[in-house]
Amino acid sequence: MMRYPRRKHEHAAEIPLAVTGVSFRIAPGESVGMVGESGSGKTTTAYCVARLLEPTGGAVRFMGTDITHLRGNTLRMSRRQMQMVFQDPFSSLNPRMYIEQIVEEPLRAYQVGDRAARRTSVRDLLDSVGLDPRFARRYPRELSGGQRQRVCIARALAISPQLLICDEPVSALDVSMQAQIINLLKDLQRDLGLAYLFISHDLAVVRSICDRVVVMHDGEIIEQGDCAAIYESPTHPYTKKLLDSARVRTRSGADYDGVA
Amino acid sequence: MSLLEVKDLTTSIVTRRGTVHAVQGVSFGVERGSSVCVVGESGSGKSVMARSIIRLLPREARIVSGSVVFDGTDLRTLPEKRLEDLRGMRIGMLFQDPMSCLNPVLTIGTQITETIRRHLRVPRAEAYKRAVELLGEVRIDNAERRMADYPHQYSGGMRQRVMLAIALSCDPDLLIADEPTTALDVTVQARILDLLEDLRQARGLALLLITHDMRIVERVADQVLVMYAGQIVESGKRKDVLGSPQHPYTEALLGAVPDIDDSGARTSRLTAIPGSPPDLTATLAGCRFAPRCGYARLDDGCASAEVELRAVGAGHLVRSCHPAIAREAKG
Repeated sequence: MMRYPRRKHEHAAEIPLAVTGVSFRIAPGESVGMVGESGSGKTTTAYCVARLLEPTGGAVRFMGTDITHLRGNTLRMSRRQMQMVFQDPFSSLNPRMYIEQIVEEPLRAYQVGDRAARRTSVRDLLDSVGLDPRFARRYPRELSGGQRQRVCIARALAISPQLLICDEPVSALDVSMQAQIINLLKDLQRDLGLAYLFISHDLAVVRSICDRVVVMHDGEIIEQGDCAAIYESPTHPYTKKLLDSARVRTRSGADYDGVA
Repeated sequence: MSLLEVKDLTTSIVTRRGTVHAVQGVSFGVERGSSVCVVGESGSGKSVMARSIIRLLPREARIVSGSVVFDGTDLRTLPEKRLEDLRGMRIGMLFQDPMSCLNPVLTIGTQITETIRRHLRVPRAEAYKRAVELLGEVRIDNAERRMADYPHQYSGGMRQRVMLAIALSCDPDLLIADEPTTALDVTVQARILDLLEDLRQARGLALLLITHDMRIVERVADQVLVMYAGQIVESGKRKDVLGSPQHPYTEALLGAVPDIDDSGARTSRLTAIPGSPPDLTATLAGCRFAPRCGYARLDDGCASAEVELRAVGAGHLVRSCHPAIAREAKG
């Protein structure tokens, strides 16, 4: 589906590269996790894939087209197949629009259907992300964080994309809300055959949602492969360190009996 | 006697929508050198509870009843002036967002020495020396040089460590930490938790840690308090509460955490809790969790009669009509 042979951000020689030589591919319907600390270049990479940034080197190929340097309408048309869900469900929704307007916006932007058809789609979309139709006429501020993130997902799904880029979609949420959203994303993938580029610093979340994982550190990919292989036998010391920090064990190594 | 003894603490917040009963009769104790973790969803009242202890509440909030006794002193009736001496001196505080707690136009050094001089009345030079030591203790490299830097020159994890240095500057007996690592990366989070653990062992510091992350609880807690809708619904030793959770809510919270070592995780679903927490402006009767509880039946009276905290084991309390042991007994 996509290839990124080399990518560089070098505006001037002395400006450090945010992301260097990153290459990975996502097959149709596959979900790929991207993990690493903040500042490791995960979000920059995602922005380059969505072409919210133009890479200074390398190429991004999406569904057979090189989109690295596309502009204007051709870029717009390729984005139709690729939508994003952001980390912060508070700042990514327009506070002055109704939920139904927010979800309808991509349909209007791409001139999908007439008004009545769009209205029906919005109902269906809200339903598919588990939101009651009575939310349609509410403002984002009236919703909880988990509900807002559902709105963001509904909006991203409105124009039936092939790829969903999720940048830390659950890290602003409570555990119980997090579980609801993760289940939702899994169901949607099963039902719609979506591909995910799923960015997270939570390795347990990535394991529950992804087939493959890409580990980033200081702007480079240091390891990538199937989740099972990487989680059970990481080869790079940094991946080991990440996994160790995330493992649920007390420091003595004992499960529950370490502390009296 | 416990270092901190909270009894029947009740706090309300007056809003335009009505009075929010944020904390409803919470009682617990913190022993010297022990760590107590408070867990629950957002809106469960855990932060208001923690802030009520040190009376750092918004203007709209009021402690309605209860007592908070810290080392023999009742903090609820203590005059504000005396409480100010206590805060920062014997009770350190650490909040979630380190950026909004630091003054952006003062150097890190100034902000640490300020606290030391406020409480310990030592000469400037001595306070400076102590501040450098503290920065070293929270593992900031080149501590001496970094004293002159401003908060924006520090990363998020380092700022939180600076906050920790400030909280610990007067060698307190108790540290109240409200989601101290939520905004941080896993590796930084692990480092801060390790640091807290070392300090607890080295200085006999007691810790009251508020979090919604069960993995943190598993890592640091001696005692666990589970809060739901302003009440404690389960409390006990870590191995009891996490090892054999009794309240359906505690079970659900534990089931909602994805397991990093589960090879079947990709194909299975997490146990999400349906619905959302109740509106605390309403006067609630009966079990607060009943509407979301998988075991509640219409006819068993959960929703009407007040449910008390009952002991299910030594020091293990639960507030539910359907604790796990009762369910198991029924088969």
